[in-house]
Amino acid sequence: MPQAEGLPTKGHVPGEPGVWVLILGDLMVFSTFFVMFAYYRGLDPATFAAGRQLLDVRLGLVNTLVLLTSSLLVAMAVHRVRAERPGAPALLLGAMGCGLLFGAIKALEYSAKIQAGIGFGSSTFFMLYFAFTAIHLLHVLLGVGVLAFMRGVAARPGAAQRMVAIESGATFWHLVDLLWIVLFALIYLVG
Amino acid sequence: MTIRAQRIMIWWTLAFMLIFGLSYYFLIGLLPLPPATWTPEQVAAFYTENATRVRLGAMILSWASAFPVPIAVVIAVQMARLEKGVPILAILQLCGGLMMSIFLVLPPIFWGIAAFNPSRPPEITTAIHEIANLILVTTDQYFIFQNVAIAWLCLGRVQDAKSPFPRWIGYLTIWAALMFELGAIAFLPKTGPFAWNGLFVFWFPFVIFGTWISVMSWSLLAALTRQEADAAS
Repeated sequence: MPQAEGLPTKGHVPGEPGVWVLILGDLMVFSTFFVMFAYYRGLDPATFAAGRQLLDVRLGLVNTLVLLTSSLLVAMAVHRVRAERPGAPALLLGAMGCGLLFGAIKALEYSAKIQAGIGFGSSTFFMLYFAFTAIHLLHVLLGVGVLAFMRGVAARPGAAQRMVAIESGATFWHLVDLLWIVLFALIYLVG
Repeated sequence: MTIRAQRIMIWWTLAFMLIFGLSYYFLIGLLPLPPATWTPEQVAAFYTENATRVRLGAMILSWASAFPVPIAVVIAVQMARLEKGVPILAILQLCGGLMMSIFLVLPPIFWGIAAFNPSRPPEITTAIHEIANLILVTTDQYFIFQNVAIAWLCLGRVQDAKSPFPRWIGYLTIWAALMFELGAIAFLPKTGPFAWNGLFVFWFPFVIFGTWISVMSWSLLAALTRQEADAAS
């Protein structure tokens, strides 16, 4: 995630401290999931390898790029708000578009799986795949709402005085992006 | 006077929650829940062997299992203090808090019914057992209203120094709400981390609920002390 220029480097916590309760809590739960995934994979590597073969790595990769792009747009928007330059609302709208595109691609992926007769109960691999990509998708949708809120703040005059709100939202969105990158690597690539 | 009443209500909730935990663990004996793969014979055997214990637990929990009610009232009073006009968030929180207590009331009743006459055909006992367990872990319906109302007030309303709702509690509450939603997945698998005895369905919500209610109680009690000092001066 690019660091905006002019960011105070000493003792600066991005956003308000409280938002880190949510972020660290989420990181804890997802970390548990990552450990659990590795544990179940160790019990039955063959099923996990077979499951991974059935995933569409291209769609996963496209979604990774979509989220990375959205994170870049958000970082640029934060930078513009801080520098009191115009264009932040449009950048955030672009990031929201990326979020929705991610959801659409995920829906496509799920429906292809279900049409192929693969469901939650197919194997431990698919149970973990469906459960955690869905929980992540819930985060993406919540994040699109957060981006809409940030856009509202950024569109009003004096947005640079509300950096805490902008940064808190951006931090959450970067978390959503980060979690996907780990999920993608773990489920689609390592599986 | 009302501060004293609020304090008593918080401790009332905490005391009844402790009774719930102890009765659930020592008498009902289904903490954690047994595997969802138990055969009807295993289920029937459990209730036959432990019939008296389970029924005694059900009896005690008939008195104590609605423990979220008093604290929901205190939270509502404290929320209404900060709202202008009709305290709509406080009302939503109270409705959510009251309704969700029903799903803590129901499982002990069904466990008690399962143990009431365990010589019936094992399939019937199993159905009652499953009703109890799934009600315990999957019922997120009302949590969400209570949690969203609290988070909304924490993050969206102007607070004062006497408020028990700092912004970080808002974020904690959002996180707790997200984690509770995992419980509903228990309808799908019978084994693994999302089964009714799994890490994400049983243990996380169980620990997070305990943590959330403890943090909320602590914050309310501390705020009541500040409000009392303010009223005295």
